[in-house]
Amino acid sequence: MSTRAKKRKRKGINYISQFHKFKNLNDAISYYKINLSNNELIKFVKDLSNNPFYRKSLVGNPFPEDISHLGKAKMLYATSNIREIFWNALIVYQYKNEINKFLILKDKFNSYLLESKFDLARDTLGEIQINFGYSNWLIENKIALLEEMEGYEKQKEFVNDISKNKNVDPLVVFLTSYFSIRAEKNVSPNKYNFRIEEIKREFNEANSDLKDLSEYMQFKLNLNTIEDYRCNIILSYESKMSIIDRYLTFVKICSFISSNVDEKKDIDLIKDSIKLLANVIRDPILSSLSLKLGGYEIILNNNSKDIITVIEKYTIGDYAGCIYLSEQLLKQSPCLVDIYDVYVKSLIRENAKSVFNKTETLLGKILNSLEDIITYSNRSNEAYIELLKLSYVFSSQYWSLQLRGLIVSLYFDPIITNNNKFITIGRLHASPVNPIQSYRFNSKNNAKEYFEILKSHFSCNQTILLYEAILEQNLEMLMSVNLPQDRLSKYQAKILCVEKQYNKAIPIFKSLMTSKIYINELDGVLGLAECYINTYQYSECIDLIVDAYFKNSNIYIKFPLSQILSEIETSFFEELSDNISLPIIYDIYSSNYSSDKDSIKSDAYEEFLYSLSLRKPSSLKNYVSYIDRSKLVYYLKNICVFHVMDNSIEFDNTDEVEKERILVCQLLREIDPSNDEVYAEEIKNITQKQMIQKGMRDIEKSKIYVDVEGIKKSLEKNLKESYARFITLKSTSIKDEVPEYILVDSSEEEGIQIQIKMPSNEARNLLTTMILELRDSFVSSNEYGLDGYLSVGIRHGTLSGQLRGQLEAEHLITQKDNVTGKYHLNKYWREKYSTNKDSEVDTLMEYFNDFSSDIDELIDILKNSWIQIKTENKNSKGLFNFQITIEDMEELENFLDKDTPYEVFIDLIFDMLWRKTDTSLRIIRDRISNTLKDKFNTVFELLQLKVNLLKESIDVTELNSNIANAKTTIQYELDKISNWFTRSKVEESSNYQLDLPIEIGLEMVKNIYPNKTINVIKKDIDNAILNGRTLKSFVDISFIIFDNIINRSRMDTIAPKVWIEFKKEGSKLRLTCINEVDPNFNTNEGNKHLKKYRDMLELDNAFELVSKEGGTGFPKIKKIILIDLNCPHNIDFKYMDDKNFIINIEINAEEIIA
Amino acid sequence: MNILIIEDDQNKIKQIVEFINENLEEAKITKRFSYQSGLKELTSNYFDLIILDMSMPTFDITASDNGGRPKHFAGREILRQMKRRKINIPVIIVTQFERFGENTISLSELKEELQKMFHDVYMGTVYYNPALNSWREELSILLNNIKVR
Repeated sequence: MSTRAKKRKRKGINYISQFHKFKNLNDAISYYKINLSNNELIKFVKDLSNNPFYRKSLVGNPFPEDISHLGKAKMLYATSNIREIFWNALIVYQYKNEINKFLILKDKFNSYLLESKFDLARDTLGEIQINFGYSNWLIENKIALLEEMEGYEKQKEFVNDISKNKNVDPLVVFLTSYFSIRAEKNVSPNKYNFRIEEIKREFNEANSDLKDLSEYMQFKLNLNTIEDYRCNIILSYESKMSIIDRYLTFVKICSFISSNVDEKKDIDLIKDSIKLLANVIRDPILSSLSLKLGGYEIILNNNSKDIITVIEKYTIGDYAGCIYLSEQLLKQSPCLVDIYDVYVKSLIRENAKSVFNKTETLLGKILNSLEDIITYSNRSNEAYIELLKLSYVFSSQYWSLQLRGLIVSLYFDPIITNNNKFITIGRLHASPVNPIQSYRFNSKNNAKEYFEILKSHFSCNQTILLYEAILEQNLEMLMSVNLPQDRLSKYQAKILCVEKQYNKAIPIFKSLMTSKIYINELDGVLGLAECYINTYQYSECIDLIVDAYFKNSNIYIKFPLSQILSEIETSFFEELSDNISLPIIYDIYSSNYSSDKDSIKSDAYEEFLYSLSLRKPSSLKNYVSYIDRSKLVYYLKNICVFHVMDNSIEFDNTDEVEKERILVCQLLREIDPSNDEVYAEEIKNITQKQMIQKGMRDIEKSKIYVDVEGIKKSLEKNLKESYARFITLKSTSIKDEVPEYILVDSSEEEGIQIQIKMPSNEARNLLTTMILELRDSFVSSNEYGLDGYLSVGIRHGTLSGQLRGQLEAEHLITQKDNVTGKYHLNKYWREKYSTNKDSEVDTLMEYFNDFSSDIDELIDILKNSWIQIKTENKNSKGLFNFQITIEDMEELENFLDKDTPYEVFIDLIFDMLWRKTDTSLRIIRDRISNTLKDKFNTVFELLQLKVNLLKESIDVTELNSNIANAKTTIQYELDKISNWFTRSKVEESSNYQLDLPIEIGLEMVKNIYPNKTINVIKKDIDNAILNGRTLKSFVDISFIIFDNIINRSRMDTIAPKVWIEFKKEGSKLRLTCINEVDPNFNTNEGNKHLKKYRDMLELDNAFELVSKEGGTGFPKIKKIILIDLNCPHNIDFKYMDDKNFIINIEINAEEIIA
Repeated sequence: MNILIIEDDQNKIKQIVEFINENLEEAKITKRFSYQSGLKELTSNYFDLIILDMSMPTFDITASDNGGRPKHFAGREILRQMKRRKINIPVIIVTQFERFGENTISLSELKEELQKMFHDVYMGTVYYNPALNSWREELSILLNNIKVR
């Protein structure tokens, strides 16, 4: 005791009499709270609480009768952490009787809750409210209960009443809103955690003064981690709340401190506080906390003996007894999490069913989910999330904390579970008589002491002995425990592992793996993996894990995969490269955890092939019988996929990788026939994609087009006549006449004068007229000419879209307003920089305007100057130069004589025009690839330069990245556009001819059935053009027809002959396909069978048959035509007498013919 | 000096080539435009120096190939592949980005990581901004270091 304190004691100072020296009462109480010794403080609090005048200032409002009173008490100044905890204990102490009553009602509420007696649970909450007023605890649980019993809307109604009440403290409203979000059924724990992280960020970014409040919020709301909170701050804020909240927060803080690794140091400091309350408040958690302090007796309650008896039944292998007793006990006390796992494990071992129905009660649901977790069933992950969610929603309940610790310890691998705070806190909430408490002690002596206390209550208990043997790592002691052989073996091997005697442990674990009981097998696998890891037997280890994974894919979570892979990468990768399990284990990691090791997975994929001197996985077909089949299938199916193979140096382009994947799928169809449909579907998809891409590429190349035949036809009558006359005139004309030259056009800008030879006689005059007429048709005919195609395919939107699209994707340009002619505001960056100064952002907006304008100017040059037809009298800047020069005329004339036929004459002119086209195209490509690219770069650099000027005041990192991305992309887009300027045959952009889907369909069946072929005898398909959007639909139809031919013609050895007709007849399309069938097939019978199909197609629910047929067949065709294409139609099919099958589809195609 | 430039930005290549030709005598430059074509080149021929972009497409972009997946860390991956294949050629990274991935790693963090992981060959990173001259100065210093080496 300090001298000052001694003096005060001697004088018996009355602190209250000193209050007048302080500015206010709050300051006075705060002063003494900080400065008095513990004993003085006890007296101080007692004196004040006995005085009604001061009581309120001391304790705030312990039982707020109205919600508006909650959170309104004045906060005292915070003191040190330990002192604050002690102060809080003193305040709570004043209400020990009320807390004890509250704890009884709380237990009652929890029992009703887990029994799903929600009405009674609600009544109990009402009773708590009447007796103890409002608290955050009450609000939280009322919200959770409402969501559980009446659903989202009722829950929100309750929350809205609170949040709309202006008298409610904002802090309470804030907490309430997050209790509500947490309780929502559709908010997963992850989603909730994300929200909490967000508010943490917002608080931290908004104001550093909010740091304390932010920490309090985190303490109250964050359920994802257990942080080292500043207790003084938390308790200070909590002093504004009810006594219930203050007590529960006190317990929570002590639990957190107790979960620290360095527990001894901290727990000693809170010793006085716990001691003070443990003696007067009947809460098992205080008893558990006391256990750590030593010297305290375990206070037994009604359940203590039952709990240890149930656990004992399990220990000695009396599983039926354990089940019976557990059920009796849980019916009375459903919150006894202590016995959940032994009960569920007993059920599993006895192959028995629980009496607690999962649909009837919350308890049944919990126990059922626990079984899923323990057995790693297909629902294990879902079950874990469900229980985690439950523990979030009822986070203020002890059973939920204990349950959370339990599920974490059962579900995760040893790296995660080792020293896990949730597990420690969960165990802390276990019954003090549950020997699992011994795991909480860091010191062996404390644990021993604990066992002695337990033994004094429960002598000869096998469970206590078992825990003691494990703690002591004492094999001899273990062998004396009355355990069933399988579990005795497990513990024996575990102790051997602790003693590093792995070679002795390995055979024991191996023998466990042969057990018929899955949880024993699991113990064996996990123990064996641990032995292999510790003895660096990584090849065996990864084989073991992969085998276990194949058996049960949910088990991955139990292995410390990250640690194993890091070890392998450091020292064992090369050594393991010939083991197919290596790439597989990387894939398991990648599928379930993270993509951060995907590059190494690709290495492992490649190394395995190299170890067999192979370069590509399709070559594994020669090794099928040498490699474990299930591993080979997994490797080919999941690892030899596009995103892994494209990392391999063995491929030069996307097409090669896709083709290899098709070969891999073909191999998989052979070695894994049970999944044939999956592989066939993948092959179909890849082929379709490739063909469609090709179709698209063809379309891109077909932008330069002239309908020569159309021109010939339209001009034939006139030209033929003129040409006949020209030949006649030519044969009678004067041969050595000198031609005259006249100026027909001049361009001052270019300094060029265009002269053509004007014939001084009628023959030459006629020739010139014919050439110019043909040239004009070639370039300008609305129906057939080049300019029309340039206009539709390039200039009209396509070109601008191709270039602008890339820049819009990076948010660099905006559209121009049609009315004002001004560019729209760049909202994306305006919003991004909303916290920056307006003037700076305005400047940036100006830059974007200029950039948009510069880009549009360049597009305009390309579109309206360069890609224009230049003739003698128009478009002097156009790069499609179709001026007819003297040389052209002379060259042509030299070819002609009186015997030259009309057709040759016409072709000569077209040849000349195509040569001019090719020259123009070369010039345009060159101009785009050089001049235009440079101009674009200059515009980009100007923007970058301007943006950099703002660097000091605005964070332009992202903007610069976007500019760099767009700059690179635009160069390739210009290359692509440049490639449009080549000549090819197909017509428009995305519309297609009827033969394309037929060809794709044939190619698809060729890829899917490499060993079967269709012998196409005749393809009668016309040139009708269909709307591009229908391509996929027709590809699907043709594929279904050909797939049926392969699978239903029953011609396994000979390729069936096929006749295909696809025609446009008026506004209809008619697709007819005839194929051979097995000559021995009874077509009469076949037709009877087909009638059923026809009838089914007439039914209203015909589309439901699509999936029943495995997604192929006639209902699908019907669905595609009727739904996807939205066309009236008629489908007919039958076996013909001459052993052929015919399908005839008529489609009313007005809307889809281009 | 035999130099391999692996870079997908055509204009950046042009600028770098011009700069090298102005500053290095007898520089023989080979250009590759994607992760795969770059990796193939450096595994099949010897070079004295590699200048690497960080973000590139997987394959060369052509009329018939859109380049496959864009690789945000293609440069780092090439360095990793060099290490795996025991290829010891000095590498300079020239990048236009200040953040990588989905804005997850800053340029300085990346530099630190590359230095730690590939200290044998990694010579440094140049931040390329065509609007500024600083990249030329930074590249010049690194080229001089290589000459001294």
